[in-house]
Amino acid sequence: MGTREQGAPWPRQAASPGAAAGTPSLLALDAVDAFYDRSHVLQALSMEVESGTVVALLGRNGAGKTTTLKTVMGIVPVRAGRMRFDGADVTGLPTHRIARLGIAYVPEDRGIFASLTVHEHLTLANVPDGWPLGRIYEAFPRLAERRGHRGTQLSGGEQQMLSIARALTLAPRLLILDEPTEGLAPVIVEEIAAIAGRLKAEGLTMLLVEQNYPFAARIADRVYVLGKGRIRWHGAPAALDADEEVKHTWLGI
Amino acid sequence: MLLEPGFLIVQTLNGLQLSMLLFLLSIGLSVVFGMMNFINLAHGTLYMVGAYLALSTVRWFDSFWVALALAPLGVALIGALFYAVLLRHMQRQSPMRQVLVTFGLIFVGFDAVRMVWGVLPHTIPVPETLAGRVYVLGEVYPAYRLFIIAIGLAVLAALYAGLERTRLGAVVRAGVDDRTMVAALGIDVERAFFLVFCLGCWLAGLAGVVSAPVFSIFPGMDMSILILTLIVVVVGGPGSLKGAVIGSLVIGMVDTYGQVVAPEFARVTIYALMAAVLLVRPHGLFPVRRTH
Repeated sequence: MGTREQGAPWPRQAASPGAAAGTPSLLALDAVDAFYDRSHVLQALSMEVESGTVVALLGRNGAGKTTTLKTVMGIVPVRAGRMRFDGADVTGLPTHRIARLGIAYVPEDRGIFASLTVHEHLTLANVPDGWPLGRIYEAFPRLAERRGHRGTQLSGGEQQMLSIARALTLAPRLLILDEPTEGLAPVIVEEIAAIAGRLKAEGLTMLLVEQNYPFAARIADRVYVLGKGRIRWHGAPAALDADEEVKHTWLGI
Repeated sequence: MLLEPGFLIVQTLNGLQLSMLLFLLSIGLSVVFGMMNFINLAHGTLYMVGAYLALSTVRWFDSFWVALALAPLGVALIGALFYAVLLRHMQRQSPMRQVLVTFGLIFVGFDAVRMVWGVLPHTIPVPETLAGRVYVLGEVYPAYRLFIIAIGLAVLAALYAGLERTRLGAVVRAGVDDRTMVAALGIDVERAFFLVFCLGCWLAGLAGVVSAPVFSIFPGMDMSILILTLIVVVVGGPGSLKGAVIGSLVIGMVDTYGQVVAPEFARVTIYALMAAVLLVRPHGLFPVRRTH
């Protein structure tokens, strides 16, 4: 079932089906305004990510998808509205404290450090209950082979693997992925999809931005469609698939 | 005269000595700029304060070695204080404001040392154990100046090990690459930056102490070395140890040889060199490689 948005934030009851059922969402944005320049604006944005689900943010270029993720990470400041994580108000917290609460971020540019080795990337966060190195190298054998290589010596696919693996060392309760398949060869996209599928099966909550609609539709439990800094539609991927108008107007498909 | 081996040996050692002082000064400035885009023009002032604190310590304890241990710590403490009171709030400000505020601190420092220690130049004696002369490849050379070179090399080795082998070193390198991403890994970049800033102040103080027995100590002694240090950072490329090392060696050698070969063109040579480097490599000889 999909719900159309009329620009203004929807009534809270309707926006939080989880709350109605007694399961509070892991992440909740409530009427958040944010901007860092004129072309990156969010207006009264409300959305929820329930524990154990995968939520995809879809929309055209410049719709505000990356800005939303950066706002959640505290990289872009919240100008109005509230943001809650696991019931606690996290509005205005600095990025490193948000990360320590268990939100891990895989940015669009992958955020790989040029002068650090693969091994250093994976030991930098130093979070006690994060994935241990052995488990990381088991899940990402390519990284084990390249543990002594520096960031710049890795291929695009390897950088993406490293960025995801590094996020897992933070023991995340919410994994944020910004366009994890962008610019990667189809065979690598398949690998990333397999990894994302396995993480989902383990019950990891994820919030992802994707231009690759089939990829998003395959993994997401719930979809938010963003347009011009506002939520325009939300619901199940199957419902979106059936809604030609929303797809045409806000996604250009 | 130029190609006499004796002349070359002595001038190369002099150049190396200046290079090491420049290295002690530039590495802190360079890494701080690389991590936070923060320009501290008062870095030379810390060097001057280091020399003056050494002067007072030597007067009280009658020992250069006590001064070597205490004065850099005092400078680091002053740096920490300024960071907490003033500089911390300057980071989100525009570079122009940072330049103006830290430029103002130069004058504050100048007046402060003049009030405390007076306007007359001072010197401190070379420590007795290093007062002698030694033979280097057949040339007589003051032992103390070799000691300066040794201190520089020891600091270089320690910083290299610290940057490459420790977790804080990895955090610093990562911070130079992409500090937002470091924060997204749950690391308090600001705290790491504060530690680096204090270490940079300590090194500037150390440079002041070790140069005190060689150069005279006077209000304004910071200006000429500050300009050379800034040129080192620009030429080497901010943010990297390699850039600071190579930049210091190039500027130290060119300045030293320039002074003896063509004294009337010495400073012109340095500026021409900087201009040439900037034309060919706008980000310095060894810019920090960014992945994006």
